[in-house]
Amino acid sequence: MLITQNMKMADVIHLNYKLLPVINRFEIELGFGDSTVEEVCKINKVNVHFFLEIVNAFNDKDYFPKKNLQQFSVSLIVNYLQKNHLYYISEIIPHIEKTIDSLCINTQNIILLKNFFEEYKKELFAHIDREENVVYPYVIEIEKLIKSKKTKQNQNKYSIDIFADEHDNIEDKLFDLKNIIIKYLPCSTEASVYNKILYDLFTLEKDLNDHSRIEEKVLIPKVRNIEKSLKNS
Amino acid sequence: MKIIIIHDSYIVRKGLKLLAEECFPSPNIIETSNNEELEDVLENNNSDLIFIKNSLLNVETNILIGKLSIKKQGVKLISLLDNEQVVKNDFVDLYLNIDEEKHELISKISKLYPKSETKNKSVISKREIAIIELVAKGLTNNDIAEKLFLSPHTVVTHRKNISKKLGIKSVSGITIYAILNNIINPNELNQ
Repeated sequence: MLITQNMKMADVIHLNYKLLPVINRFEIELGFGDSTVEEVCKINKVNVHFFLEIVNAFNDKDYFPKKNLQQFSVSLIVNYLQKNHLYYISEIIPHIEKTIDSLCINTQNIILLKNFFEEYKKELFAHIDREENVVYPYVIEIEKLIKSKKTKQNQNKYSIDIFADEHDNIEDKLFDLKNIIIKYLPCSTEASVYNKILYDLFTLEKDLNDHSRIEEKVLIPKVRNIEKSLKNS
Repeated sequence: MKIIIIHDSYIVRKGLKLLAEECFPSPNIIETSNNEELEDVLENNNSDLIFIKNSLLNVETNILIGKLSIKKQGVKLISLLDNEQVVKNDFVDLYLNIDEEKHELISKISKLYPKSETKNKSVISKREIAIIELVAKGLTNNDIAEKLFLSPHTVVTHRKNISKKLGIKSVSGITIYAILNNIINPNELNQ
């Protein structure tokens, strides 16, 4: 179902509770009463159109209005992507780590699992680091340049194509981790702990897919266009 | 099971999606509405099955399909007809008319997938186990090829099949699998 600005925010959560962390990212807190999406966004100084496109794209994986999303400013998009990163670094990853640590017996299998997760975490964090320190500053700067019309100053050697090429899939290890637990790790005891780990891994995976889809289908083409017009001016 | 649905009608796409979900367990479905995105979608996704509206199978798409050698990789192509005349196309495995009833559609699609094929799919061969062992020990594809007297290309094919069968893509993931299944002894790794 398509989420609209006249819907009650409370109903949005009832429709799909998995939107909760996405809504949190806009620094919108619970306790909406009967306010509509539009009202809640206004109070929290959130761009309601952007909010709607983001939650709808997350809610329905077949809904992805590339053109609409590309209309928003680079800084708005990057700001949202940075909030995603924050969620990975300070919430879901530590949470999974804690759950893995809570497995009682330190058998060889659990050590394998821990080491594998540690490896994955390092890879993910390195990926995030690169985006935060190289890619995002670059795209924000280039947007400033085009706005200020000082186009000739673009002496940046970096280009979004470099990022597009490097944008490797860090999904492999996550995919493996899920299958190792589902298919191969004998875990006769503590089933509920493994369930929790799996549940979080699925949640993380969905979020990451949503995140990279915005980067690949919205941010990269948008920045490519900016680069083009900078070159031609 | 990765499925691509190419049709310009939203309603037909959704119908095909439902149909695919009836035929296969949790398929991964990608939809696209037009030919413009076709190249992008085909190149970026290793699909197992493609549904395409028959009228979209024009000269250009044929070139594209030929270029990407989809047929060699065993990808099946189902063309959807809206009661029009069929111009036979070598790439197409099955023509479906959108008027057909559910049981007809399902039985025709499942005929494309004979049982024996799916049965043996997940059994790992001795050769594959040998390769898993060497991957886990940290050998590169070229090392493995040399050691087992295979061509590097064959090793790559084996590796792809192993990943598909196990559901594990990374080297460290394969190492864990090898340890859990006693293919290697973890103490050997530390040397």
